[in-house]
Amino acid sequence: MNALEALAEPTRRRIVELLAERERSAGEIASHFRTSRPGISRHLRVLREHGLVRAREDGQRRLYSLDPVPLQELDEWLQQYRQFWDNRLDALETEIRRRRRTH
Amino acid sequence: MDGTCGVRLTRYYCAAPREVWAALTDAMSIARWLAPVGDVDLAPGGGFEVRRDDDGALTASVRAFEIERLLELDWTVPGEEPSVVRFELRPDGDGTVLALDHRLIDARVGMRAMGIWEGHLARLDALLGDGETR
Repeated sequence: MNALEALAEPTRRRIVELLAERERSAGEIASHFRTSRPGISRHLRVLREHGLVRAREDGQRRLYSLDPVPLQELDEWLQQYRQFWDNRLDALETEIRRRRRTH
Repeated sequence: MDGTCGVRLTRYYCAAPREVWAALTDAMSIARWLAPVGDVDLAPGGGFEVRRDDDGALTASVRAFEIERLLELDWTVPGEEPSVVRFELRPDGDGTVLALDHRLIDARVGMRAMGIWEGHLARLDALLGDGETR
């Protein structure tokens, strides 16, 4: 699942992908883009405001990481789909047996 | 493709692909294992409607159909982007492995359903300037 792709803006999506690998500083993130450093900072602010990314101070640096909570909640929702198909595939097994008896 | 997610399940059935396929695709059988359905036409371009208690029928339209091997359906819930449901069969010893792949599920539906980032997506859409909520 790549739920965070829901964030349609390509640069922010790429930032999220970088942070999915590991925690990074703003400078490190910016080095992956042609976008200006202030531009990247703006994207990071948007991501933080939306509860997707967290920041912590580490000496002079500020380190950014992914906030896992929204992803977990989305996975809980997807669980309904898994449950639905799991039940249906059980019913398919019953139907296969039923057809065997009657055909 | 952005904003989508999916689920994948695999099952082993102690039955030949021919039997699994018959149960999977026969109109009477579909009504028993899936849900009440209207007329079933699984030729390319065909499909069926799944009746639901709540908000309107779900439409399944055939995208791909290979006898005893593959059935792929456009899966459309009213008011949502279509997702895709794919059933793939392969023989395995005396039985059959069925792989079910439900993909292109619109993640925003889930985010709304769970109240995730409530209001935030609307703001984000505004920021992105497309104003369109999918």
